[in-house]
Amino acid sequence: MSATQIVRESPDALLTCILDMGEMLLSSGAEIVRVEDTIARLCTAYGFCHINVFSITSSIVLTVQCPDERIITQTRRVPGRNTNMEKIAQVNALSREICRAPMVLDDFRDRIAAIQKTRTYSIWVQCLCYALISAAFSVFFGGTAWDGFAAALSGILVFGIQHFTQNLRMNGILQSLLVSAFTALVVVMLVRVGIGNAPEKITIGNIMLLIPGVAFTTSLRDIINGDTIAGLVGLSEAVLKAIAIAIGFAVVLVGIGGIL
Amino acid sequence: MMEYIIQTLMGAIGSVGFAVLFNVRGKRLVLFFLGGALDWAVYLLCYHNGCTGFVSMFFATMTAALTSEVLARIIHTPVLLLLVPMLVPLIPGGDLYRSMDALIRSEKEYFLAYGSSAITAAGAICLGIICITALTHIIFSIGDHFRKANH
Repeated sequence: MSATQIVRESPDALLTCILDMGEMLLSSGAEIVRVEDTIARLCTAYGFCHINVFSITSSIVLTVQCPDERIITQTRRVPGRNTNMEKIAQVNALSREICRAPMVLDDFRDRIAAIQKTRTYSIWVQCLCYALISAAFSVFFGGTAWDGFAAALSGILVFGIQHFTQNLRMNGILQSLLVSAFTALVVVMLVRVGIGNAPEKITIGNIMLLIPGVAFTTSLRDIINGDTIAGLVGLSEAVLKAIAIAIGFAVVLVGIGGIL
Repeated sequence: MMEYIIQTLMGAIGSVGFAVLFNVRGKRLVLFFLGGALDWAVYLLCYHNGCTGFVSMFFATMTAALTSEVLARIIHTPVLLLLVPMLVPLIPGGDLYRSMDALIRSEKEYFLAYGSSAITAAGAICLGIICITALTHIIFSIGDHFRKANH
């Protein structure tokens, strides 16, 4: 079946699939330029004309003209972002394949479903990584080996609390605040017990896990790429989250740290 | 000297750790260790030879971006997938936190100092990435042009 036939049969369903691709890219942490570019390429490959796609951090709007001059619009709200490089790579590969030879709708749907099922690392591997990253950055910022060990322990705790609060469907900023306050509490206790000496060197390892550094840098890239609105949304989200984390740590380290 | 080597190794481990959290799979993980170590080493080298923080960060990012552009073409993966975890040691998470910490303690000088340093670092990273992306784009279009001309 040729591309024009596919479009004539079910343009709406096709547009939904194309938006699915865009949504996966956006929620996996791709830049806005890539999202808009991929959607535009897919639409062109299927023979839509006058493609208008606009995306910000949390939403995509797509209006196209079908070959029979009908105009279709679909929008998609994209809630959270969770960096998943494997997904971006797979969406990218599928999009290239379609641009070379447009596939029928059912195949397209199956391939999207396959990408959505991309497996992630098991909880234990992720937990181990939290410990590893905390320890590494604690030493990176000048901590001793003991500080690194304490950071690894509190890193595991960060993972536990984050995992737990995610199931509660809590607001992102409140979650950051809670996680950082709990972590600070545990770090203060660990130092009291004698594991690690410098609380601020231990906490910086945990902070590197929580702080949205990648989001901060990506938003600045969006701004420089010309996607000012998306960039500013991302930037303010990152800064708010950083403030929440700082408040969480400060309340415990200043308040309770002084008393103990 | 020893502390710089340890710092570089730790930055590299951090890169690999984040690569796993970002769901990168397979043998590619080794590349992040080397890439993360390389860009932090370049940063230290520039910084201790009289470059400013901005310039050092810029060169370190250029190194990482160039490495990932080359590797991406060898192992056929998107550049972004290689670049983001490699840049982890450079990303100004520490400064972002310290400036916000100073803000809530109302220490204005520290807030401004750390805040501007975080934005400067992020800006240098973005500029570095954009320069290399533009450069490779130009090189490859020239290459394509000559290939077509020869046919």
